[in-house]
Amino acid sequence: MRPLGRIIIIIILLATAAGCQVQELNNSAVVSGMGVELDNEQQIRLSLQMASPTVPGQSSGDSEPAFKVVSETGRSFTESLKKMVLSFPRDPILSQSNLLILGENLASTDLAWIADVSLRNPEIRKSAGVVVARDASPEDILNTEVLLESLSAVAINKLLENQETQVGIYQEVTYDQFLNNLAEPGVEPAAPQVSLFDSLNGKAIKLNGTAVFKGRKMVGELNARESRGFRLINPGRIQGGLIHIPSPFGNQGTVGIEMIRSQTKVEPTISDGQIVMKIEFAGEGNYYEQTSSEDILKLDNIPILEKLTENRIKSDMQACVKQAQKLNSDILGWGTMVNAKNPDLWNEISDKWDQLFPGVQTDIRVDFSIRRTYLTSSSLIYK
Amino acid sequence: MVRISNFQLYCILIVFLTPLAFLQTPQILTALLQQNGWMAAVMTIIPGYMMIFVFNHILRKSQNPFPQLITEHLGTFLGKGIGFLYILFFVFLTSYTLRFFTDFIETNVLPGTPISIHIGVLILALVIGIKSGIGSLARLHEIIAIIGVPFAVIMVGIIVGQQGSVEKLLPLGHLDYQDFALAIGGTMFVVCKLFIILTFGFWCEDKSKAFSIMAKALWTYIIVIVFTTLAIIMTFGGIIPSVLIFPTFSMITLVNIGDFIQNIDIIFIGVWILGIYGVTVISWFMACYCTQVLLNLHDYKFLAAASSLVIGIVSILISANILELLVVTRILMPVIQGLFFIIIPLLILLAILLKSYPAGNPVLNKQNNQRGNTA
Amino acid sequence: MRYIKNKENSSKPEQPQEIIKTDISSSLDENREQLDILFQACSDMVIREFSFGSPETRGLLLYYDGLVNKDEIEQNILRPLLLGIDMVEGKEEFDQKDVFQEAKNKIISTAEIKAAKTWDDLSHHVSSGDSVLLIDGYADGIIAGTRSWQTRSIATPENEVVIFGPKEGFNETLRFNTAQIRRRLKSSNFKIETFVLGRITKTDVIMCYIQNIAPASLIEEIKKRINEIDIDGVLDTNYIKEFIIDDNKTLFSQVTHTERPDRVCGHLLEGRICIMVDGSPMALIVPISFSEFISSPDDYYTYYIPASLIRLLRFTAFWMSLLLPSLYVAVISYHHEMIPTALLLTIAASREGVPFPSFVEAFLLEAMFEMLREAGIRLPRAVGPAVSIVGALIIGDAAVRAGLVSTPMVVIVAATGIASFVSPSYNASLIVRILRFGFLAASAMLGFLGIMIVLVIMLVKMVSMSSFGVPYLAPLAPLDLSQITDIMVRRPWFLNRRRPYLEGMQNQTRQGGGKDEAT
Repeated sequence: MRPLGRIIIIIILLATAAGCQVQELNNSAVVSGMGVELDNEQQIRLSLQMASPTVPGQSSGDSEPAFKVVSETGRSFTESLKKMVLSFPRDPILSQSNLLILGENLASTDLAWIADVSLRNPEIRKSAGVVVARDASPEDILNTEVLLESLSAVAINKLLENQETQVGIYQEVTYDQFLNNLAEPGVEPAAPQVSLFDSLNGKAIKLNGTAVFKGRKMVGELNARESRGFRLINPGRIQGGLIHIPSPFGNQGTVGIEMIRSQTKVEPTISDGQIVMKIEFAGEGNYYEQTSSEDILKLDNIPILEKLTENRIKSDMQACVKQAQKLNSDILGWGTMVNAKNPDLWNEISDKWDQLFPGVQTDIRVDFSIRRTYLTSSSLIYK
Repeated sequence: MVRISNFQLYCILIVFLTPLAFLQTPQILTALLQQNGWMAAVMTIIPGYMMIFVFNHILRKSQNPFPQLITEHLGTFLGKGIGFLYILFFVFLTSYTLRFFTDFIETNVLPGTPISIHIGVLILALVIGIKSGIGSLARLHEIIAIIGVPFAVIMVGIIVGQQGSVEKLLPLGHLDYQDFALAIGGTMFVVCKLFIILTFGFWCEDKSKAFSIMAKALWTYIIVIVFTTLAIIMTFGGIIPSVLIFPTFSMITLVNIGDFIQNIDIIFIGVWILGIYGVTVISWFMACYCTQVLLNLHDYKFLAAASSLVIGIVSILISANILELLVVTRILMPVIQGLFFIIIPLLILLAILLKSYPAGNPVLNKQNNQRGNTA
Repeated sequence: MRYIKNKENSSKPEQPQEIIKTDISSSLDENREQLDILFQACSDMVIREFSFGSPETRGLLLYYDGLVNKDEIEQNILRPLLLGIDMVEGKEEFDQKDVFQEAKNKIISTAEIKAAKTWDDLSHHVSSGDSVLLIDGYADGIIAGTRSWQTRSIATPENEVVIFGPKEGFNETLRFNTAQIRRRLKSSNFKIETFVLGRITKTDVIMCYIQNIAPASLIEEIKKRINEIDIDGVLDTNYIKEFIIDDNKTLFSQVTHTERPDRVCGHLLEGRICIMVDGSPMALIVPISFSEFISSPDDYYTYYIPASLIRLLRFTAFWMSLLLPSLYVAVISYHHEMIPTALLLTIAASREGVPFPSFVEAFLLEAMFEMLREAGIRLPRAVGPAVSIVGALIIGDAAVRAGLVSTPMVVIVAATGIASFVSPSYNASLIVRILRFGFLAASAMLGFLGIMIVLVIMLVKMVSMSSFGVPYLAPLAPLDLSQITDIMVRRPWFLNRRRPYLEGMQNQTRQGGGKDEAT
């Protein structure tokens, strides 16, 4: 082949290939968040939050939100997605979407509506966060304007990220973990819930509870306290969180303890044919504030404060376990832990894990130490 | 004159073995054995070493590179016949590799482009490669191995650091022995690709080092596969990977570097193209070289352009859809590769063991060197 | 015209083409006639006839005005001949003696002196600036070295600026250039071989090398290739280059051009061979590998740690200038998922209303940039800044404001431009500039995949190339662990114990032990 011929062939080949998959930005819209809900006629209602391009150095003005939410109903996820093109002149780029909001109705009906397509579709990010809407439709949540942040989908991710270190209540879950928990025996998925509330600036978004699934269905919720317990009981290292305990002087005061780091180990043990989950928590934190006036910071008081914190952590964990067992959903992944520890036993009991799980005993041991007290070594001395 | 350095030979082997397996084998392993998949890969070392012994023995007892080697041991008639089968086999292997890769690209990145275009563009690049001769291909493989292997390991390492959790590796043990055997087979049919040393071994600086080169290649391969399989299990657990067509790739998409570079699948594919190019160019070269030897032609380079149409058409016709292709991948390819890379070498070994050869014939050695050089 | 005239007079014996092949006659009158024919219409030719000696001998001196040092002619040729001949002792003896030999050996006092037998030889020397003395009765001409002409003074090479290190550059006179090298390599092993190339230009072409280090086979090969050249004129080293390179169908440069004597010496010490041409300051160095394009002589004059970092920077810049526009086009036309949402939105916003697809946009801007760059080189110094202002303002700003191009694209093109200026070798950046468009087209067709396929083809081309037997990508492919460290980073001198290996190299040792190199 002479070079000229070679070049001609290259040009012909490439020219025929040209534009096959080009998604010019001018013809597409960046999707920042997706919401999926099942409507009353058992059809998928897909809402996409399309971010308006932001011109740098040029504020978009108050009148116009930085996004548009486009919704469409169809028999399947894909149908809804493709039908959008009939009314919306641009091609949605799903691959930028970092949040998936599952509607309450969809969650409590069947996750199969969405699980297959989302695992298969290469455009849907598996690293996106998953939340479940609570008392609101995903469409409304996506449509809510958030203070300072232009996109509510991005805002929800930031809420989840910030609360992790600041208050430490909810456990983030990415889509691939969520799907994995859906598929793996011995663990059930759970995802934070988002709801709307009326604030001074109109509707606002709030993280509110954790949705608990059983199989492909949502069966209940954890409240904030149980959610905190859920987060603490998850094995592994976590950082951050705020714990409030009653003042040891018994005068209605509250002491705030900031958790710096902690580590939880969960190990199943078998005693007398009973499965007992041994949960060991070790954490450390700083004394943050108190609302009463006593001089609490004495060396003798530290063990008391630590004890109170430990009790608080323990009761949070127990609340979570209680609620999970009540809902009979192994969101804590104890089944997989039994499997990992003792596969033979698991082979025997995996079929009746549903009956066994509510009866699983726990043995919670908490060890908490207070390390620092920030700028003052004692409380303010009032005159 | 062709002379390949030992390092180049090692790189050729690595590149011929690893890139496809990097994507396929962890899937096969986890599908069969879930969390225990990596153990099968480790165990492959034993049969792998056995194959290395076989190839090394054939190599030492032969005077000519493959495919003359078959004629040498099995007689002219059988040798020519089997040689022609090998041509068909290498053409098929090339087409299959191309097809697998293009299907992979179709699946993950550019679903709208017809595969004929991908195949066409790749074939063009391949023809240019083969025409440049085996000497430059050996140098190319050096670069591919130097870039590719560390890149793959770093990618997987980043994933393990970001997403992996050791708990997911448990439980261990409780193997189904049949599945375990199948999984070893699944890794093994890649290891037996070391077969190509029967040709390249004659061109390398030091034929006597062939054993250690093969062993190094085997170890590299096993380490990459074990590491990747472990990473996949640590990321996805044991269940999800068996559903995914390309779990390695799905895992790589989770890489996130500093919250800025994310979804780097396409960069991964980019580097991976190098590897695929290396695999394909070697198997195509083998097809061309076998043809040259069996038909007593002067050169193999022109055969590349001549056979490109065949390769292109075969690769398009191999399967109608991805599921069919997966059947080819998981059932047909192991069987065919097993036949050509394991059974026939074993037959040759048998022939060698039955006949007795005078040990070390310097005259013959000289001849074979010259013959190797004409390529 | 000349052609027609030649045809008309073809029967006559006094043709310049025929004379030039004949020997000089012993009769001065005959020579004079032939000179008139040979140098007809050469208005700068000076022919001075005179007579000297006691039995008066007629002599004839010829030279080209402007190429000679007239003082020297007066002092060293004419004056001794015309005046001093009487003062030579043994005047009587002189009469019987061979005037020619006397004049050549005793009287004429120029430093260089030779004899010429043919017109061809004579013509060549006269054209080179020597003066020729013809003496009646002798069929030889005395050639006196009186070369002297106006040259550029030794200046800092503008295209290869270094911050530290020597600042001298070559100029257009070959002899000065070789002197600059010789001054740095004070060894008789440093050899300079001369060839005369060009049927009309008769240009001196030299090949220099260090005998103990440069592979003998390589020297022979280059000699052979140079001797095969048959051309009417050689005006620059590039003429030679295109004849002697291995593969003349490839884009990649297989030689290094340099104007710096220190760089030439550095290469000679690594066993390479330098070729220079009279009349051009550019030296040619062979064989080289691709690594040459990311290393600058500066590296070796700077402390090795910063030099290594700068080399890494240069390496990055090389890839940036090659791939940045095509990566950008690939990402925004195919792979949106790769970049963060905020960045994508910003890009999307600035692309709103841009009428061209991103590929066309990139192509136009790149082409415009290349034009500006070319314009900048050619323009007179006074107009240059004006053009860059117009270019920057119109292309950078007004085009964005008019919505013709998007801001990120301008940023990308500008960054690419800057990166391409980082390259220390003009040759390398030329190649990169061409390839960049290829990558751009491929990325528009197949996205990142297209880029990679072009990259693979480029790699195949590069590994299959060699420059005088040295693989182009050496020491990366074939891998040479002892040398690869000097490619990515600049190895400190104290670790630079061995020279890069060349096929057939006799002596690889740089430091410590090794064979005796000192001569």
